[in-house]
Amino acid sequence: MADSNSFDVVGLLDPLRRYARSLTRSEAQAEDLVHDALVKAYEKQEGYRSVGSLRTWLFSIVHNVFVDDWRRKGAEARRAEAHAALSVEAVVEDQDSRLRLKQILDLFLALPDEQRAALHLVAVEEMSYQDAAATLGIPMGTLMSRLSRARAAIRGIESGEESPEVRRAALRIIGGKDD
Amino acid sequence: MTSLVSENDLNSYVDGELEPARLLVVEDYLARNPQVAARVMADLRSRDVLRMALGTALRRAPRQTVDAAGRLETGMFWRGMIMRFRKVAAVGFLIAVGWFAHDESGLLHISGSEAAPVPPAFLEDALQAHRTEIIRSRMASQSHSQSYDRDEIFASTRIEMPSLPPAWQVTDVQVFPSHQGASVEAAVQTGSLGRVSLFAAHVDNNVTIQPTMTRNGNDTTFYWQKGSLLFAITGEKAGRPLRRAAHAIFDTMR
Repeated sequence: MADSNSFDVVGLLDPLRRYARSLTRSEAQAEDLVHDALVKAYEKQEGYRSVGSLRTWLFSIVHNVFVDDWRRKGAEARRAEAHAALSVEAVVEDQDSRLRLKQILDLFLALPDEQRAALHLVAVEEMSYQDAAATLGIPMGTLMSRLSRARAAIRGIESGEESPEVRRAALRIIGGKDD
Repeated sequence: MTSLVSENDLNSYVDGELEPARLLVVEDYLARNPQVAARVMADLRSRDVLRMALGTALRRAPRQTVDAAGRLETGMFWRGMIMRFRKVAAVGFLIAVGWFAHDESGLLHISGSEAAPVPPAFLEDALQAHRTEIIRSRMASQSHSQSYDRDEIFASTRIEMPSLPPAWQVTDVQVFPSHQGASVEAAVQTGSLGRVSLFAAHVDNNVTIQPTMTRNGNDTTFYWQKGSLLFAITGEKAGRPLRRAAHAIFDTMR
């Protein structure tokens, strides 16, 4: 029954949960969001064919549930919880890198929802512009302008405060990834 | 070469979205404009930082989320099957007819407050699993699990499989998606009965149904229900020996 693999929802759980975490900025809220989205997806399975790939379809449902149902519930009020919930300590060892990482992450989490969503899909999930635009239900041009503004925000605040140490540490992160 | 490089070009460069021809134009531009190149490097770094911080492994998914994903997967799988094999509806009808027409004793042994119809969907599942197993058995590339570990099956599917006659040899155990969550199919080499499949799945209602026969083509199925678990044994050799086997297994179940 190889066909069952084409509906590998379980295999997409982690990417969906990561996306939900970036949207809600909280691990606990992310779990609830993904669960709500899966229940909704079950109810509207007939909508699947018209959209294309399973990944895009499920990501778009997570997104729509967040926008339609969740944001109204006052997600803004939960912002404070988010920073503590996302732990970055395990990723890098030295202090400087950790600091840099935390700064960029904080800037990312402070972005408006729509910019954060666009940047997560493209940068973290490595979605093509086409898939990301389809997921968000927006034209490609709108997606690109959101990405551009998100990057400008992250770049803008961090520029001008870089010590040589921080710059060296940051370079090491990138170098480490390519090894 | 044009030096008109746009904001979108720079973003597309960071995200690997540029066509090869455009890529060269942008790289040439960056080589001549170190300040813009530094900006692009900063964007690349932020992208990698986000990827590392937010793309990392999560804690194990909560049980209810995994269950919801499994339900969706099963639902979509069956939607796909039904789309692909429209004749399934016809098969379902034949099975439903056979279920009423072919009970050998002429009686439906059903206890419980009222006759509980066995959903044809379950019988489709049983038949589909049986036929898939026949195909799998001919394929050397398919891995076969000969371990009929009832505790392990119960732990992962919450289906309590019956103990089988000692002479029966389980040749393969598979978990299939079915209408009501996971189901289990065991392929058994029985000797006198030839190769049979034992299929088990959860159902919604909670009744006892005595072993009851239904036929489809060359396949004969006896199904029975204990509580909310339905079982079906399917073989190509029809009739009484299979009935006796079904009853023997039924009687061992509490």
